[in-house]
Amino acid sequence: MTAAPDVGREAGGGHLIDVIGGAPATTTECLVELAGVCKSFGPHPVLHDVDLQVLRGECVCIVGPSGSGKSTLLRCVNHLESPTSGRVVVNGHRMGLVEQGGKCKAASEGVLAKQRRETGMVFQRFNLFPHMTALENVISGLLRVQGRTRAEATPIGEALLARVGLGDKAASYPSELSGGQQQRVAIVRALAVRPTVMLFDEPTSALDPEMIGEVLGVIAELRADGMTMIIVTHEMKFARRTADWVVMMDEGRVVERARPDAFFDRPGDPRTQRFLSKVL
Amino acid sequence: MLPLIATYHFDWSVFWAYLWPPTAFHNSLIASGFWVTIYMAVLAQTMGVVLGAVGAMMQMSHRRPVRWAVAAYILWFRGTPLLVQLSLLYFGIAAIYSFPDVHLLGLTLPGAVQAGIIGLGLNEAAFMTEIFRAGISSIDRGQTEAAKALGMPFRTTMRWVILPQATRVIIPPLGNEFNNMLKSTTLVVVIGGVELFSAISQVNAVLFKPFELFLAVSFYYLALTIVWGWIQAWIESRLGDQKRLRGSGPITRLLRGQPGALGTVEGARR
Repeated sequence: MTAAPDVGREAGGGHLIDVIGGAPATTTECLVELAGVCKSFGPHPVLHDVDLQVLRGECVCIVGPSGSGKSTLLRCVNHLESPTSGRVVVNGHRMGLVEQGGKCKAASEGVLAKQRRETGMVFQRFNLFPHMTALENVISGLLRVQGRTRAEATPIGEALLARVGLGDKAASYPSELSGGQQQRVAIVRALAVRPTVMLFDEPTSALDPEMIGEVLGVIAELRADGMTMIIVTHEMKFARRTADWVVMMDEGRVVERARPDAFFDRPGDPRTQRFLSKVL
Repeated sequence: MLPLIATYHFDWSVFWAYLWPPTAFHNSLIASGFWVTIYMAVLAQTMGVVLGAVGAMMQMSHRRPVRWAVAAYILWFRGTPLLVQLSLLYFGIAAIYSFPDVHLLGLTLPGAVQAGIIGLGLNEAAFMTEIFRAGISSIDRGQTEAAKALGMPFRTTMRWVILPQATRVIIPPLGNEFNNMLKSTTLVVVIGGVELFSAISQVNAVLFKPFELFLAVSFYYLALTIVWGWIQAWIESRLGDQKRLRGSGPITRLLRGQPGALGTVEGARR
């Protein structure tokens, strides 16, 4: 693990979130609520009855061994996976469901696409669009989801890239960028459409060690700006420094949810103790 | 006893006269047949590409009857001879609908040629569906997920994320399909469409010089497929050349794209 330099700050003053105009966290409104979420892939159960609440402005880090269902849980939040049962509410929207005459029914692909706009997601493998430049990647949501014009979107995209220290890379293609640079582009691509919650799925796991810091730096800055975030990570020092809550998952269950200091210094569950003794 | 192999006097003057377009095209039947062959191939291929793209989208539907309909279509059109399909379309359908000649912008589009274009296009759609499906499924799943996570609906994801990348995979087999199409147009002769081959056949019925005429006409098809081969090679070289794909014209924007995994994996290793 490396110390996180404030990459964004190098590019000039102001906050990352100012570029897109977000509100700082002042309320205690529950933005994400998962209740009794179960998920099976065929006969294989992956999540058992998971509950999770994230208040506005909170940063929740999910840790746990591989195969414990961390990523699946995160993907249930924006319905990239639809839960087998249970409730997922994001900013008041029942994800994957529409109410019609008092009854709930499964949302169509188009409605689901609209619901997903509440969330932004950053992937382990970046998943930038390789046929678009960095700038085109960042403004793709503004153009194709929000229907803004290129003239409106370009300054926003350029400002966002500058804020993560990539102002000079606007015209570069993903294949010409390092992993750390690609992931920073991916973060501002997700941020550009002003999601209320950001989801990070092991954002540094595919990076070389020397690039982890620059990506964590951007995430930490976003945290300081008051963005609501759920982060699946293996970076324990980062989780301790950044999270409001640390959630431990094992075999598809939430086994512990605690404040970072309590989590790392006085873990309550024996499975957490075993896990931490291996990774710290 | 009659000799099994008769002597044949090869008439070079007929061969050269019909091989050389300026003299051959004095015969308006051959001149128009030549252009009919080209536009029939282009229109039928275009129809095949458009219907094939639609078919591939339908195959990805979560509605089972829609997928079954596409599967049945492909089974039928790939599993029966094109010759039979054309005859069925023109002579079979004639009982309820006969293709009338259409006059458009001073040009006449004969009924048989319309039926030929539609028949060839419907057949081609089955093959293009498979080519599009293969091209789309070659794109990394992470691309679809990233687009979904941004809130893009299916159509937007296809139009702006998947198809621009899949084009790279689709273009080479599409080129081969068009090469086939140029030659398959000759089958339209069975329903009476006057294209290049049927024009030459009609000349042969008068002159009775089959060796000279059919050899000459084979060079026309050879010329068409060779020229298409050059065009195909040029398109594919542009697809392979990253630097050239940086342009912002409509064609370069359409053609550019690179395999999904390449960009990310290389970037991660650097």
